[in-house]
Amino acid sequence: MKRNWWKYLSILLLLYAIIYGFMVKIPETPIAESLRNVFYHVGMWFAMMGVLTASFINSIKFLKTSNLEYDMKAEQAVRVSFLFGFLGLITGMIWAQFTWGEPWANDPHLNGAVVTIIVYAGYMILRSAIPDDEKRGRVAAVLNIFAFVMMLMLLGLLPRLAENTLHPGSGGDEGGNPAFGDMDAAMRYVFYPALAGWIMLGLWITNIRIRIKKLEQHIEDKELD
Amino acid sequence: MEESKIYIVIAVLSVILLGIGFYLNSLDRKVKKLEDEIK
Repeated sequence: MKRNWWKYLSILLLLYAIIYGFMVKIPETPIAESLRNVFYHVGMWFAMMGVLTASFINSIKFLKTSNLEYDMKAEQAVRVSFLFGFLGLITGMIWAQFTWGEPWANDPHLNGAVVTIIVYAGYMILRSAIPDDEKRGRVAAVLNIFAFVMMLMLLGLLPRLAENTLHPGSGGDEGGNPAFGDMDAAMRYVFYPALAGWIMLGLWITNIRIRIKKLEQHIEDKELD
Repeated sequence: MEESKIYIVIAVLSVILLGIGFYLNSLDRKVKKLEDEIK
């Protein structure tokens, strides 16, 4: 109970985000009420980045210690990141269909997101190609660090440098980062708790996956004896 | 707020979220039980 408080907090924060996400007064924009999607769709990407950050940290720990448990944790976190990545893509396509008239506009954010997912898919494929545990761990950890930096560039940096983007907060328009800049003040009271809630939900699912994997490994070790 | 009946959507989504929360929590407990067993 004591160590699980953040798991319950994630549900509480998301409950708050659902209730106030629909009640908060939003500014008038061409996209009308669909602006509220920002509390949920963007949350998917932050959940993905949250678990990938956890994965990155575990890969660094593995490189320092060569303890295979860290490698396992890094892998499980990447697996969970696909869930949120695909949910982010699908919800984004629904929103885009009604906002831009097409599900897949040629936008740096969209392309960056897909390339990020492909890089992590490459991470998973590479893992499956190396039979030796130690070697797989080392190669995967190095690739994971590379993939994490790629993600930061593709999702964080490049879309903001691009001129021709449809997402807010980039290049040409006055913007600034939509997450930290010009979002309506009242909306931020929903937005930040929502992001925290989604990130913690992602970490919770990762936590369960890791523990199940540990149980599996325990059973395998017993069978070897 | 009242005439748009949006609060009904809020109620439905809240129930779904709570359902997922309770389900994840029960999974968490199941795993905990197994962890305690192998110790």
